[in-house]
Formats: sequence, C-alpha cells, structure tokens
Amino acid sequence: MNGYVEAGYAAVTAGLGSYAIWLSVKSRRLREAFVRVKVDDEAPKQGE
Amino acid sequence: MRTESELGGYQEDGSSTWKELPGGRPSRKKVKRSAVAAVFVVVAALVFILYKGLSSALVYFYTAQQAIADKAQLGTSTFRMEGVVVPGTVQPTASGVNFSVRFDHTVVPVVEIGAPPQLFQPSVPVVVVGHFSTATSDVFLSDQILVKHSANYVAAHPNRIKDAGGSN
Amino acid sequence: MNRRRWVAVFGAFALTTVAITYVMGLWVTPPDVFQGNLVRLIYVHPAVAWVAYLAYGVTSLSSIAYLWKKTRNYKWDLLAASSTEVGVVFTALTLITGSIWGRPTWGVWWTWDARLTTTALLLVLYLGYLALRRVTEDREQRAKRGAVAALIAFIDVPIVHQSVVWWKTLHQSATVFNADLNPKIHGEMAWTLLLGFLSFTAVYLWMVIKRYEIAKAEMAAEEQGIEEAIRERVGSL
Repeated sequence: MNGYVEAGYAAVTAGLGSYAIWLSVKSRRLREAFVRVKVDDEAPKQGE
Repeated sequence: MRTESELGGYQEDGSSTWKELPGGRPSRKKVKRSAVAAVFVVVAALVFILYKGLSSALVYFYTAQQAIADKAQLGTSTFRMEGVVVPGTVQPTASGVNFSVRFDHTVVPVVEIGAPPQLFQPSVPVVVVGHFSTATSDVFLSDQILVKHSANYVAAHPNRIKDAGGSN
Repeated sequence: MNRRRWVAVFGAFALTTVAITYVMGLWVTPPDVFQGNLVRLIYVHPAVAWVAYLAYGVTSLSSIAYLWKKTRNYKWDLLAASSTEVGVVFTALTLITGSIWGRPTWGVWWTWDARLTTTALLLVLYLGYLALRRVTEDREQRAKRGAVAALIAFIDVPIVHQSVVWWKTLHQSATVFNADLNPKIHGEMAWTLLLGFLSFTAVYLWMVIKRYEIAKAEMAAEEQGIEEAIRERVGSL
C-alpha cells in the first residue's frame, strides 16, 4: 500500500503490544509471588 | 493487622521467605544512582530541546509577501518562506527543481537544490528553507521544501450517490 | 464475575475495537484526494496523541487530589504515577507516528517546529517526573514532589495543543476540535477517526488499571518490607 502507513501502524502495535505484555506478565508474577509467600509460610506447619 | 502467615517469616534454616516477596530488585543504592543519572539525562534533553526549539524559532518564518516586503532587511540571511506552488512553473532540473511560490499577489521564483518530497505538486502550500541568491535578486535559493498540507480530508472516490445525483 | 475477570474482559474489548479501527483504517476507508493512502495514518496518530493528553489530565487531577488535604491518600499518588507511565508510552508513539507521517508528507522526519518541539518537551518533562520519583526515597516526599512536578509539567499540554494556532508551524491545525468545532472530515473517514479515539482510550483505561494494580501490589510489598525492618529491631511482634 505505502511503506509509511504500514510502518506507522506497526509502530503503534509494537509499542502498545509490548507494553501490554509487560503489564500482564508483571501483574501475574506479582500475584504469584504473593501466593507463594503464603504457601511457603504454611508449608512447615503442615510438616509439624 | 496482618497475620504472620500473610507476611511470611523465617525458615528453620535461617533463610526467610521475605526474599521471595515481590520487589526483588537491585539494591536501593544502585537504583538511586541510576535514577540520579536518569534525572541528569532528562535535564540535558530538556536543555537541548529548548535550545533547538528557540534557535529554530529565531530562523524567521515569512510569507512570500512579507519576504519581498522585508527584502532590504533580510539580505541573504537564511529564513523560512511560505507560499503556494504556482501551477505551470514547476520545472525539474539536474540538481532539484525550479518553481515559483505565491502568497496573495506576490510571486517569488525558487531554485531548489535537492529532491522535493513525495507530495510536492502544483498548488500545494509549501515552506521553503533558504535565502535570496543575492541582496538584489528576487530568486530564492532553497535547500529544503516542506509540504504544508491542510487539515481537510476528502475521499478520493466520492460516493456514487453523488455521481448519480449529477452534482459531480 | 470477579474484578480480575472484568479487567480481562475489558482488555479483550479494547483489543477488539483497535482491531476494527485497523481494518477500517487500512482497508475500508478510501484514500484521500491529496494524501492518497498516507491519510490512513490519521486514524492512529491524533488518537494516540489525544490519549497522551488524557493520561496527563488524569495525572494532574490525581496529583491535586493527593495535595488536597481532605482527599490525601497514597492511592492518588500511585494513580498519578501509573497514568504518567502510560502517557509516556503514548507520547513516544505520537512522536514516532508523527515522524513516520512527516517524512512522506512534509519531506522530513523531524523539524524543530512549534508543535513538534513542544511535544518532545512533553515527553521529556514527564520522563523527568518519573525519574524524580525514583530519586526520592521517602514515600511522602516522593508523593508531594511528584504531585507538584506533575502539575508543572502539565502547563505544556495546553501549549502543545495551541501551538499550531499561536505560532507559524508546519503542522496542520485541528481537524475536529478546531475553534468553530466544524469538522473537516466526513463520512466513514470521520467515523473511523472517532472509533480510533474511542479504541485507544479503551486501551489507555485497561493499561492504567493494570499499571495501578501493579503499583498497589508493589506498595503492599514495600509496606511489608518496612514491617520486616521493624520486626528485626523490635523482635517478634
């Protein structure tokens, strides 16, 4: 169509896409880390 | 209050689950040092942009009409000149393109060295960057053409109902 | 449905509207009389720029909410920081798409023109805000300084918007939000433009919600870290 048009749309897709992925990954990791702390803390008790 | 189980705690071997808490980032000192560096970079960028913006604002921006009116004062100094490409004057040359720009009733011949942009064509408003060739000549020597397009957008293929109505 | 579900569903909605905007912008809408296919960039560039303004507007309002004693709460500070970060992403994309559009139409990737210069300034000012937050360790100080810095940076937003009116510039004036509110674009081109604004606004909302949740979780972790320090000094609570 026109290299510039594709480049513009691609830039927006890449920029927003990578930021969105970073947000998703980071929020999931945080959530899991919070859960892990709880589990780790409870684990020894189960062994008692 | 949070209970101990929510907060994590110390394991029997002396390690603690605190370390598994989110935020296992580099030490605060390191973070702070890089942040200070970032602030410096930002300030430097700020100064650079302001400098470029202001110094570019100092390169005068005239319409073709104003340029001719202030010619005595302008001499051969560099400035930006705005006007519309006069149809029928565009002549490609070996080094670029020759044409005339008009603003109101003033026409100024332009000699451009370098390739014009994709949208350059007769009747478009342009801004040319350069200077008058001599203090007495009206010919403007330009090394850059910028096409100033309007904020109007019109479909290239107007819809067919209009055609059928016979208005086009 | 729980809150997390709602956020996910909203994210999918935002993604869908962007996809529709792309299809409309790239294939359905007609080329422009003068610009040809290049006009298709109008469906993304101004919308992305609008979101940057919106983001900084949210930053300013939440900064005011933090500074005002009656509403003072760290949550406002976190929202301001989150919105700024998203705004910075959108400002950078505004500059990139503008540059890509400028090359074939004006003939240059960049020029130190009023609109471009003030937009570049906007990006750097808010990057400065984010950097300042990182330098300041004390939470209250960080929130206060940040709020003041955010309000100072916001001065540039109306300047950017009015730059095409105040100075002679290469950039065209507003197509829709012009002085007499007389749109200079019509038909499906106008509808797609509007859809672009809505879809990128939806993307902004989703991003700011996600970023705010991350900031809140990090603050919770930080709070627990402080409690840890107290615990070490005082012994078991």
